[in-house]
Amino acid sequence: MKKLMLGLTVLSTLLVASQLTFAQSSASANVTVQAKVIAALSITPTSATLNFGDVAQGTSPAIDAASGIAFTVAGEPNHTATLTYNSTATLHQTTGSATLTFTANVIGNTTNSTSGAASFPSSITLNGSGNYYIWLGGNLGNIPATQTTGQYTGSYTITVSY
Amino acid sequence: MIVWTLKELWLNKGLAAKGALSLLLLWTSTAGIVYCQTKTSTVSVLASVVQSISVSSSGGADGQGNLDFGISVVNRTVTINPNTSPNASVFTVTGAAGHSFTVTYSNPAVIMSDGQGNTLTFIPSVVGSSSSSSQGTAAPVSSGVTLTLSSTGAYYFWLGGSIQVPNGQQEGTYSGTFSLTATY
Repeated sequence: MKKLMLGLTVLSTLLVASQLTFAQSSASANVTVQAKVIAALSITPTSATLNFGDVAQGTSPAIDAASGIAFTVAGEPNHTATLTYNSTATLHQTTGSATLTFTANVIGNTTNSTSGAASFPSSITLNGSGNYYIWLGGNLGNIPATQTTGQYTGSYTITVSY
Repeated sequence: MIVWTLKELWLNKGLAAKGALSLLLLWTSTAGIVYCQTKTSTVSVLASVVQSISVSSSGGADGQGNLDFGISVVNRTVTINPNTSPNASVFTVTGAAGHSFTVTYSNPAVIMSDGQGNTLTFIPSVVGSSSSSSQGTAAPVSSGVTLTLSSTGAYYFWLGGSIQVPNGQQEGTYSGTFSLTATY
């Protein structure tokens, strides 16, 4: 009887011990997964065309940025964004092969005013309403006296991205 | 030597003795019945107590393992590659050297919420290795598989994944909880 009792005692002790071990055999770690969905960016020009009008051979036509095309950028308020654009664009004669080179002048501001605007902005911060303002002007350099007369056209792209 | 009869004990001794006697009688009768009606066999009961298993998180965007996908506009899928991203979450499992364990984790997706009733779905991507320096070559790990702790009693998991932000998704900050569990 004593042996049986001892056996039962040992058995129950082992059961308790193994239960304790089992209770500690699993562990977890939790982490937070986060993402922020923000307003998509847009950039809208006030006019589709920067028109130099009639320019004469042997002249240096230019359009001041403040008198050129205004663009409005819209996106996430107070968020940074990047502007990319080329410094020049090539205008092609519509009925021939002659070209002109357009050299851009880009200025930008967080307020809708050219006063105090930054020259050639690249890293920008949208204002509290999620806007930024850009103006595009430029020049056609010195047009040679021998430049083929006719209509010239080209495209110029400003891209904004987060 | 003074010899007490059971009757004398019952009549003359205190409550403690009575209780002890009652327990003795109860035990002998119960044990006796069991002993009489049961065939006994002797078995060995073995238990080896091993180091308990634990899981900790590190890395991620904040060093605590929290995974941050940063910003996204709508109609885009943002991805964190668990093999290559320095911002992948790291889970370290520690326990008995060479011991096998089963890993389970939030699967197949974690629903993230902005607290306003809008949700995004995070699809986790987990890779694992017994070497802490093998993030780049760690193999994909499915939830529920059994793995073996290294000779130093460790195993490492890296968490990345993707979130597809559909068109029309409400702007805001979304978060959810990813859980990884290791079990012997």
